[in-house]
Amino acid sequence: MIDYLDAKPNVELQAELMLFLAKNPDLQAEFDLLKNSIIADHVHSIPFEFKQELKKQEFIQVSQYNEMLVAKLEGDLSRDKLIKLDAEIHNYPELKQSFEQFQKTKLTAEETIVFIHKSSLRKREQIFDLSTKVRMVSSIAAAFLLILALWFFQNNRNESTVSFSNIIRINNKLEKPSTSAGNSNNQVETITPIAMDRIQKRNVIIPTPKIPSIKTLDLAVTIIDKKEMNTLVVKFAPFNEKEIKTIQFAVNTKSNENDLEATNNNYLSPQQYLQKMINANAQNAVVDQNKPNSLDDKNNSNIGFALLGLFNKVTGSDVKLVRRYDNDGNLTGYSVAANTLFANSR
Amino acid sequence: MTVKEYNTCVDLHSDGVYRFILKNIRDDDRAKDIVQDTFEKLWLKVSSIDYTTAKSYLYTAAYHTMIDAIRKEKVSSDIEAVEIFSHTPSKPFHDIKKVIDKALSRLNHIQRSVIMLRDYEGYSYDEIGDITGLNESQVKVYIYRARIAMKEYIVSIDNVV
Repeated sequence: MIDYLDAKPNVELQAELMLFLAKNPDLQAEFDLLKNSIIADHVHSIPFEFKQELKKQEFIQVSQYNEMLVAKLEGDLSRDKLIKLDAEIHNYPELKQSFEQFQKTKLTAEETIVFIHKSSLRKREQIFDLSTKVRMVSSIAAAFLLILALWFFQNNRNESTVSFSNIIRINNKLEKPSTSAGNSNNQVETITPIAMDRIQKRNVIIPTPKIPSIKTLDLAVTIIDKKEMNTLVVKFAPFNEKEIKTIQFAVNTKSNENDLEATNNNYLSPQQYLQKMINANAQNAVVDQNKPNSLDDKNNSNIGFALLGLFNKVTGSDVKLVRRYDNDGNLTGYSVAANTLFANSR
Repeated sequence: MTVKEYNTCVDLHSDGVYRFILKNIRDDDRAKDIVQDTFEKLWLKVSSIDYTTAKSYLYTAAYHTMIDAIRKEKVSSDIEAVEIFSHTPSKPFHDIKKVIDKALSRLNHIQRSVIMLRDYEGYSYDEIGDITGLNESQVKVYIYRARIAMKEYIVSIDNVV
């Protein structure tokens, strides 16, 4: 019976018990009484309300939590650590109090503190109106046009102006070009046909100015006195280095004789020398630089003309060798004149 | 940065910069001078500084100008420290704002600066590092130590009260 009440029934014994109780009804009543004395399961869930009061608190070192509390305040903790710390703050009042004290260290801006001198810091905005823009654009455009005009002027002047240095009178008496300003003989001017006529008639020496430009023809005429020979050396710089057509030719003149003679073959380019020789042979003239000129006028002038002709052909110039005669018709000398003189080949 | 943007920076940030400097050096006239010097530096570089980075430039310039001023007048800052330590417990502070202010003044200028940049302007550790010339770890350490120091002072005052 006890086993049955303790919920440990043996099937066979249980059957025997039931059979026995059936035969003995007075024992059935006692069995029922015992059965009702068993405590119900749901009674076990009744809690003790004052359990917490019985507990003893663990002692914690709050200072050990300072770094964690500051990390929580700064938002540096991971989610897991934050949950764990929140639980401990909840469990320990002193921890909670410590965290509240840390929260007081979080500063808030005092809006009442303001900088009252803002006006001294501000800068004025520049008013950029349309008229200013127009003025600026106009100025830039005008400057550009001026530069363009100067450039065109310079180029046109270089191309159309006779830009050789000196026209030297080749005569019995050679004269060095004068560089003094103000002298009408040395006036800088374009050699026009009228001027050319004047040159031929008056043998005016007309120096030319230096025109600084990339297109400047740098033509230097030097006179070399070689003993009693006056050498007219005409050298000119190339138009640009890609078109080197430097031509030098020398015309020897003797002050005492009305002759022209090529002095040094080295001054001539191979083409010029060839041409010169052709002309010389054609005229049966031989040029000997070491000997005084002994050629007749015709031969010499032919050489000179040949040289100048070659020069003109190469450069596109029109340098002329002009004979001069006295009143008696005697040849007195030559003049070199040109309307245009270029350094580059055309 | 245009002139208009520069003037906008004046309106937006002059108060914050002034507050930051004033809380640090606790001298109204010097704070005003530093603010003006700072904005003048910004104006000199107005064409090279972008509007979006102007704020950090201002705080960086203001901080370094302030440090230079502090170093030049180190004696006066020592006197200030003495004054703080002379406070006696017989004079309790009931105003928490004043307590906090006092706690802030007890910090060294680096701790004070990083705390204010963190709380007033919401800068991150690396941003504060850019302004002050410190690395991120150093900024974090300074902030942690500053908080602990301020908290201990507050606790000591609370205990007195």
